[in-house]
Amino acid sequence: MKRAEEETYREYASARIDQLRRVAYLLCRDWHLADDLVSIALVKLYRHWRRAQRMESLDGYVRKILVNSWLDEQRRPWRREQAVEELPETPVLDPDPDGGALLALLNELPARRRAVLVLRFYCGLSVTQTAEMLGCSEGTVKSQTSRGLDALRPLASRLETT
Amino acid sequence: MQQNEFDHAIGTPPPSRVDLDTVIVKGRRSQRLRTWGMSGGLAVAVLAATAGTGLWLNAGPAPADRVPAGFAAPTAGSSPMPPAPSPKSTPKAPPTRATPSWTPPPPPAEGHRLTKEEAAQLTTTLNTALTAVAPGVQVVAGSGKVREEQALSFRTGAHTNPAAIGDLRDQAGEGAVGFEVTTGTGPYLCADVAAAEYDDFDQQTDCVESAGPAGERILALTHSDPKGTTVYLGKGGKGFLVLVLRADGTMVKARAWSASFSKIDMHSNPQTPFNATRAEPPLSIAQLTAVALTPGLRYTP
Repeated sequence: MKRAEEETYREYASARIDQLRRVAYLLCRDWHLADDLVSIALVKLYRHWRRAQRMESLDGYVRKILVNSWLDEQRRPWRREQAVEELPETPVLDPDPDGGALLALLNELPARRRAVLVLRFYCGLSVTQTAEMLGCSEGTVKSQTSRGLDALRPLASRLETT
Repeated sequence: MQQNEFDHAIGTPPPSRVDLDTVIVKGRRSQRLRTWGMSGGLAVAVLAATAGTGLWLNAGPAPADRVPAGFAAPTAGSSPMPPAPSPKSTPKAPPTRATPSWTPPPPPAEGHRLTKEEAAQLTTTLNTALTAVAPGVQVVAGSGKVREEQALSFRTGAHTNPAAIGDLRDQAGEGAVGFEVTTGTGPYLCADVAAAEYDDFDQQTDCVESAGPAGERILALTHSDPKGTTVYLGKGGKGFLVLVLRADGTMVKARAWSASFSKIDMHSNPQTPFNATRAEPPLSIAQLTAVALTPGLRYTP
């Protein structure tokens, strides 16, 4: 990579780090791991920068790298979390008024379901875009969204009433 | 559910630990390893074609007819490892912005597969030339990971720039070399090569342009790493890169480092202490040039 290209890369990465950290944190709920994931994603982006910078949706490409990096992390046995497939009907909510309950509930979701919710409702992607990013069908995205929202609904109701 | 609800839940993030400088250094390394085909390790070695030359490079003088044109064959009394010409002692031609006098062909299509026959031919050509140019130098391994591979081998498979890499050993120790055959999409000038190939800020690079016996354009780069912060060289290390650009648009990139690939592999973090394994690369610029000028060492898919 030439110096001018690297400067372009540096400008782009500097401007996106904060947003990428937030997405990564929503996925993994650990700031240290979030920073690691962002670093991994940016190294991969650097490797493909010449091709990537010509893409129509560069932000989407970077998010895809980030999400896939996190999913890869999840597959590693020593990283594997105890995911709960079915949540209790009445979850115990964290009374933290700063939104800890939302994050706690998000944390209870299986990895891909969490990724679907973050991509759909935080990154604002459509069903089609989310399906393309995760490499699954649109039906899967819809069902994962529905189940994820079911899990979050008690919290959403509470947020609406406060 | 809205984005601001998530942002509210996240609150104020702690200070970032993402160090963009470190990311870029790792990215450079990742890019180079990818270029050299090391990221996936070496696949099956193409050794059958090298059976005639043996697993070890033979010592002793090489037949004159095996030495590429324009280069004198080593004599029995000559040192098996002639010292590399010092950049200070080499007449340094200033980089010129001359336009290449040929129109390079387009690069090979992505996914073109180097056939077994092509790989075997290139492997034989390379090892024969190496034996002639550097007698007494032993090929230790095809890479730092496949130690049993004792020839520089081109791999079959999809390539746009097939390369044979490995570690060489002589009395001074082990060092890495690599030979890449491709077609010329540039860069053609010293300044471009230095920027494209060795853009690490702490590296010192010197470049000399010259012409080959058949009108080839030859760029010879010497680069050093006094601080030991770059990927390939290590503290006090030195590397050579020779580009031979032929009139038909084919190109050979020949490289040598004063550190072995096994040592380089361990240097994944720029903060890791890393010293070169030897003072000079295992092949001099003259030797790299001689190998790169070998007529059969070309890739024309």
